[in-house]
Amino acid sequence: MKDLILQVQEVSISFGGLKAMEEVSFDLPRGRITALIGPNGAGKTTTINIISGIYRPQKGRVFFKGQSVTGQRPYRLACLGLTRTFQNIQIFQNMTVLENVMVGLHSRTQKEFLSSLFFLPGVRQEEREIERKAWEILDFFNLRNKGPWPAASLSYGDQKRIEMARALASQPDLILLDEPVAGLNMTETQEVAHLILRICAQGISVLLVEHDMNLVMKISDQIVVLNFGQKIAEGPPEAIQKDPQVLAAYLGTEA
Amino acid sequence: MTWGWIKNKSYLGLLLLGLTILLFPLVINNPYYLNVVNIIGLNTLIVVGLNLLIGYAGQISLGHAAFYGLGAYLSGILTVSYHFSPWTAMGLALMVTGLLALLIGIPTLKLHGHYLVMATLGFNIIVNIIMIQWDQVTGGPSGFPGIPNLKIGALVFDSDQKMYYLIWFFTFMGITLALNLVQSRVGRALRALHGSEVAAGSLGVKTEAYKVKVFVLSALYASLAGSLYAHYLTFISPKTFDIFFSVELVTMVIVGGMGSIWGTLFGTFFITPLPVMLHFFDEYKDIFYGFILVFILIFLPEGVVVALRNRYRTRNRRVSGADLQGES
Repeated sequence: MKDLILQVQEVSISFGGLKAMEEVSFDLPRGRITALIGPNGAGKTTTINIISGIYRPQKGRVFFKGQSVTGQRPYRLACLGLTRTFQNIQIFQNMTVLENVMVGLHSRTQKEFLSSLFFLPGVRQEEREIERKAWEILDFFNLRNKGPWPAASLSYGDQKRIEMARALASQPDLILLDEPVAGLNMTETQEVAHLILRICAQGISVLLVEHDMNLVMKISDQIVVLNFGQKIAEGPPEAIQKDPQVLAAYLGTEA
Repeated sequence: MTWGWIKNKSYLGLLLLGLTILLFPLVINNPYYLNVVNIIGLNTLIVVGLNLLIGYAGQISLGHAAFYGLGAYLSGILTVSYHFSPWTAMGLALMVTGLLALLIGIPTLKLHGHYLVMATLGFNIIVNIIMIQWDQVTGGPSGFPGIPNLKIGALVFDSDQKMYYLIWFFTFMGITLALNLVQSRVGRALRALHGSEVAAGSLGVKTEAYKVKVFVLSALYASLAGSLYAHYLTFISPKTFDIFFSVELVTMVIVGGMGSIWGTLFGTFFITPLPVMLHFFDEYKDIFYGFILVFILIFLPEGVVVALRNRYRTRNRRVSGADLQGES
């Protein structure tokens, strides 16, 4: 199918005796925002870790742009155009904001050890190009004035935005956002919502894992609901809000 | 713009370093001091490579004395016992040492965590035991004598002064290449995987391959220094390359500053002459090292040079931050 960016097919994985994902299947339409929701421990982050290549599924397959990428290493996936952010911030604390974003361009640039060591022709040019693009991305995120700052000195909200900026710098076709507004206040959440919409408007598909239901219902085109490692519902926000199984999972009533 | 400035600054630094290296023997030509400065040069070469590994990529090795020793012994054995020319021996030593580093690096750096410390520690002990025990080949505990000097045409590097220029030429090159590397895409990727391996991977950095490559590179730096050492002193013995020297090398990295190539120079200039300066309480030398290490780790964990630089930058940023607020 041409309009699917990602297909997850009957993926299962268990840790010890715990079945974190059981025969989970869903598709992500290209150029849309899909949300993955579910109560704590439902398997959302596990799903993201499988898609981004951190875990290898024990059963099932993952297709990205029609090509099987099951168990591929994260750096390979990044080169293919699939990247992510992290629930617990994984910013490079030891680098400046600009440098963080410049690392984001790693998969789109080439110069390796030997060229860099001996400063071979083309290194300077590529370096300038990396820096120019990184500033552009910082502009997009309205972080230009913080470019030279050490990343560790920024506020939590800004660090979350840097993580998105860095991921966007890798020029992905699909970006996995793991709880991008967790811990942010209302204003910051609104800003991030706006950013996600702008990212999507650039033609980048988004898979959003989030607990903030207001945000999810407002910006996603499609929602996949997990509970205890199984998919219990899938559909547009309006349908999900009325789905009895989803309500049962969240409110704990008997279905 | 920021980058351009930093780059210019490091070229200025290299220019100053180059001039200092050239002019130093004109001021000081006492062979004893030159000898100390030569050993500092060799240590700097090793520690610059080691800093790429520890300070940038965040991987710790306690076995670099072994790579240093491999360079020295391979150069010695190949020239004396197998009659290779010193330069060929140096090249072969680099190849063998690099290969051994690759063999250690591939399995241990696949694992997350500090497995490299244990592997390199063990490796250093094994290499040192071989140097002591395999006496038909290595000369055993009494050492390996009669290593020829390096020469280019009719120029034989047989004096402290001539070796001074050769050693510091290689050290200068080593510093230049390291500066090129850390200011590049690869250098950023190394620091990134130090910061967060999983995030670096998700952005396309081949974290395992990069860790192995920088480990091999640092071993090559040490091997080169070892070969120069062997052809300089013409006599080598196992004691020079034991595990305590590996610890000393790590101390030099930490004192100078992890992730600071210029700090390396401070670390080696400060630590290398200590045994000479402290010879009057010889047996307490190790206590002194320990004290320095503990002091630095408690009060200046980022190293002396990096701490000073950060303090300077923070002050500057406060000033420019105030300016920014004034503008808005």
